[in-house]
Amino acid sequence: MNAANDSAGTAGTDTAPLLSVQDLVVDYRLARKVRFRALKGVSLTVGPGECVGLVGESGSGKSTLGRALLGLAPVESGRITFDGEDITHARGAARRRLANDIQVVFQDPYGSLDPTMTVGEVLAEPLEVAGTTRAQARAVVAEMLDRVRLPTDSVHRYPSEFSGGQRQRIAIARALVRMPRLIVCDEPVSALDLTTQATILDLFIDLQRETGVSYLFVSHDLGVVRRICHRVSVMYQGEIVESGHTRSVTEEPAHPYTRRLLLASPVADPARQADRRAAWLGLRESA
Amino acid sequence: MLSFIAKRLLSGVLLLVLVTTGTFFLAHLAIGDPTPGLLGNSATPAQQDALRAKIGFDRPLLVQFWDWISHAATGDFGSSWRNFQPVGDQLVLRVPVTLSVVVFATLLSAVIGVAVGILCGLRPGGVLDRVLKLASVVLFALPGFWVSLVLVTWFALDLRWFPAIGYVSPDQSVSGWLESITLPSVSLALGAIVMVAEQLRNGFLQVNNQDFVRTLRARGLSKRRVTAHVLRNASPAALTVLALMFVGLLGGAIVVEIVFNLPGIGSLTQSASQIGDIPVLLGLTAVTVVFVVLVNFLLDLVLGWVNPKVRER
Amino acid sequence: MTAVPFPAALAPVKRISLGRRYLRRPLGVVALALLLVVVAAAVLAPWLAPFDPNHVDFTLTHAEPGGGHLLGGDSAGRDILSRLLHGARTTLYGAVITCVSGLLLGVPAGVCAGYFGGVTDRLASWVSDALQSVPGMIVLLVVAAGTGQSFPVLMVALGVFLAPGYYRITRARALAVRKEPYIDAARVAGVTNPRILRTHMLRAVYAPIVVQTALTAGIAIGMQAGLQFLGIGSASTPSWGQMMNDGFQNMLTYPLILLWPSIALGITIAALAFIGSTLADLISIRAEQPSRRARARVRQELTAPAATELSNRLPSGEHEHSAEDCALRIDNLRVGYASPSGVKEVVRGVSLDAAPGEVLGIVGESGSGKTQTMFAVLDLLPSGGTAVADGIRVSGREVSGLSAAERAALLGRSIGYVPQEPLSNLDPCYTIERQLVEPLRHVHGLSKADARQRARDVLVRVGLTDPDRVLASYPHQISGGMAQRVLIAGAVAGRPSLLVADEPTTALDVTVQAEVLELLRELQQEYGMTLVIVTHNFGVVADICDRVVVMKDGRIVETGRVEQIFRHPADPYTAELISASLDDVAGRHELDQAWARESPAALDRSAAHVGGEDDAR
Repeated sequence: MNAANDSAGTAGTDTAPLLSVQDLVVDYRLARKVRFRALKGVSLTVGPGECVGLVGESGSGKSTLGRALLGLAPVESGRITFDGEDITHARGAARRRLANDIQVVFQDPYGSLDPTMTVGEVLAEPLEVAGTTRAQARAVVAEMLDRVRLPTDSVHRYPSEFSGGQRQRIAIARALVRMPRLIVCDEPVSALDLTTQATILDLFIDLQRETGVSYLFVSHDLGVVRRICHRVSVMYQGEIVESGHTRSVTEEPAHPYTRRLLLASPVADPARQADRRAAWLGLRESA
Repeated sequence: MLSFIAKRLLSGVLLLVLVTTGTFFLAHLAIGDPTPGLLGNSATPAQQDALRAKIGFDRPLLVQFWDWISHAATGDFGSSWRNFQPVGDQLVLRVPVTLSVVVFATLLSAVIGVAVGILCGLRPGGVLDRVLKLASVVLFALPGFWVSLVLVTWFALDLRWFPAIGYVSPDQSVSGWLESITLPSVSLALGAIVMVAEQLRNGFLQVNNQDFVRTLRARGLSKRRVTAHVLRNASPAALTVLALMFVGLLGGAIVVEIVFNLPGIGSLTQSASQIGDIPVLLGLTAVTVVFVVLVNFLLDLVLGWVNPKVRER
Repeated sequence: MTAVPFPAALAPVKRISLGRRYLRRPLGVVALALLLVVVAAAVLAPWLAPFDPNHVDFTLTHAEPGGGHLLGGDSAGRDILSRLLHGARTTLYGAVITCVSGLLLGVPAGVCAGYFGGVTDRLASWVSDALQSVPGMIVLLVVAAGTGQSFPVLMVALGVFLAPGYYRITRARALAVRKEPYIDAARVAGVTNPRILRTHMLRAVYAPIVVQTALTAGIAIGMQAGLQFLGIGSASTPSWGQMMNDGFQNMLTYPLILLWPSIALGITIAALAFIGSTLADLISIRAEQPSRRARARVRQELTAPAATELSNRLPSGEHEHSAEDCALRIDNLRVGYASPSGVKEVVRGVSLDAAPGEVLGIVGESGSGKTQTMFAVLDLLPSGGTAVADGIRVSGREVSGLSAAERAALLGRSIGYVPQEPLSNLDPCYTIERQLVEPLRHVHGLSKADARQRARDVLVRVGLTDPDRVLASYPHQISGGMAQRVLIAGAVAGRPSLLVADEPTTALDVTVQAEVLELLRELQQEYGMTLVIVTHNFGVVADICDRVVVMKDGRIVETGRVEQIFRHPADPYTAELISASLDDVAGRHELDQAWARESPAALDRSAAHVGGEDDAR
């Protein structure tokens, strides 16, 4: 476990994980008798202050895992433990209590904010339902806007007045207002332009260092995962085919699928891309 | 596909049973004792009792209901409480009149509505499109009977192009029949025409903005061929509106028939409801629901044919 | 990686309320004023009416207007004006009852059905469909017969029959909103279902419901008058429908008696309808199209640039080849759209070219105008878009001066087009076979059998192993990767010399993207086509392009061969874009190490407990 020891944190392999998922199975009902098994027994842990990536293609079940943690997907069997507490089937009041600890940032910067609410209302809503007073809420909202580098006068504006990247900052601020310990990030940068994507990723890293929050970071992009995640799990057709430290997975992938995924994503350099394509063609031939 | 048809038919039968049942109890609840209405206020209690016994009104309500629905299932709607003629006979006389008007109006709205809708969809912002917009606003909301009053005054009384009132059976004279139903149908159809046209026009523009239309054009297809694709994609919404209109027209016909003095179900409904002739009202309800169910079933079939996704459900 | 500087304060934005915008529509204002007059007449009827509406004066029977009776008398000798004013009261009272009951039934049911879905939705929708299938007029007459003269009960019953209108519109809207991530976000934030329904859902359906209410009120008033016309309602309460019946009886002899209530009814309903339609326009339910004049203005402004911004209108980009040798050559292309504040230019002077057999990449971020440039070449700009160029040459032939029909004739023959989204670019109503065969038959004049054979061959060529099954399929029955292959097949089936591809791999998974890029490269070489590929991804550019054009804000910032652009980008923007692609940046591991070195405190503060488990490798 060399990679763990020389990583920045005071990594302790013996500490209890913040989140642990064991043998999770999720079935979606497509029609009366047709079921689709989106997750086929998936296990995963996330430590405090850690960012764990879930990478895979569409239909791999990576987003489903995130939604299952949030109680938005039907869990068939398996166990989700958060901070020692079984939250697999938490509903109603128990689920709402979890809002203190687990939050979410979605992919779509346009659909993830209610267009009829001002930014202030959007950010205050999670606080109001938790019973925070208005004055307190206002102070927290102002602080969070500052944290995500948005001007304070944003509170009176509507989401439509912001660009995609700015909206994603607002969505991140909303996830942060309750000071959660885990944020599920469901492709939070894949709808953004490349330059915006880079700044938002940096913001995620800064916020993690400032607040110690953990991320479960769902993405289809190995480059993004390499940038932000400490560890990564690669998903394929509802199963995790490979997990490990990001550097080892992205540099020396063990599973053939991970290798295919890595070689398939083009690199922004003509000479190296020619090599990568040749390797990919070779892999395709041999398959 | 077969299960799809079976499901829709079952749903239709269920609707028929529920609506007639509902109307049965609603009518009994609302009307209460029908004898004063049927006999007039001057009737003696003995006369009223006799009538009650004759029409079976002295039996418990549930017995009456069972009696009615078990007969109705075989097509026997009982007899009118006023003149004791079989309800079925009256319906056979009256329904064709109303259907002539409503079907003619539906055809008018389909043909004209589709034509106008396509023309406006092809030239959005053009003169016709602006006229349609104005017309759709006004005509949609104005009640058919109001329009028929205007039409009667204008075309029948002033210009004398059409007979103002009355009905000619197609057995007697086909041209006379057409003349007698033209004005009522037109006054009913005006609102429906603009609704269908507006729906088709909006659907047309919506589909026109979809990606696949650009791709079809990029393959070099002629404007006419691309339009055919757009039209097929835009038609479900317009068809649904057309089917809804049919139901609306059946209701609107009741008032319009009175303006034009047509011997359809309109005046029958009016008189039956005024005197509390429940068997006639129930027969009318059942017949109209049957037509509505048939039209909706037809709509489902057409929609399934137009859109392959619907078929698989 | 440099962070983009962020403005300390946002520029002020002018927000105009719906009410304000409404008042700018003359038609809407007139309609509203008319409705207000009717409302005022109704409210003030007891004071405005010159006579008791039920007072009978036999000398007034069928009286002409005049002599203190402004509108004359009816067949029973009552003052028509007074009855009209009091009738407005009845009319509006009834309409309010109807709308409120329709609203109270339809809106909550619609919101719940859309939000909860499942059984709730099916049940509510069935009831709504059933209500719409019921012959409402008959049931209303039954109710009227029973409840006798109870007007409010009758109006509630009418409201029940109009509730499906509210239900359908609310449900459709709620269903759409339910899928928005912000509802999921609210649930995750611990917001209870009742609160979500009350705030998010209700806000979303608010505007369409206002429109629907204006329309429903109009319909309700019409149906109410119809019922009264049939003789429903108390004889002692004056109503318009009743007055129309009275007029109808005397239509031949005293047409004026019918005229007055007809006008009142017509005006009121029309006013409500226009209010509804104006509101619908404002919240853009009806798609409006720019007029021909607006398009002409755009064209004029594009061709005659304002002197002040001349520097922005000079051509950007450069030509590599001589005009005759080009498969595609664009000279100073400008594309604009009409907008409320004048012309919005999305492409501002673009010049580029591509030689036969060359692969040219057009790269830029969203809003850079790269896709618009390509649509201008195809002459397939979205409605409202206008393109102006000093020249567009396709295969050496000048096409910018050609008519729309002549431009269209190039498509499919000389130019092929591969779109971005695979599934939305196939017509959902037709089989793949029909969509591939139709252009081959009617554009390229092949016989039915030949066209089918050609379609089948091309499908095999693009790597589909079961072409017959694909040909027989509908678009929703095949996967995204297969659909993109079908689209490529459709684009190359006519053997064009120029293939333009708009982000052909963006919507695809990475592994599929590699396959599709490989396919495009093979086809391009095999057929010797020129390939113009629009993309935001520098990896794609590195993979397939010979030359590249970098665009920003509608202008070209740099043109050059791929190796040169990547190795020595001349423009800082190009360099920034390339560096943003995360290929060579430090990973989290290196970042954390650097952070630990910079701030020793970080070691203590870092809470990261990495590697909580033995990796299953």
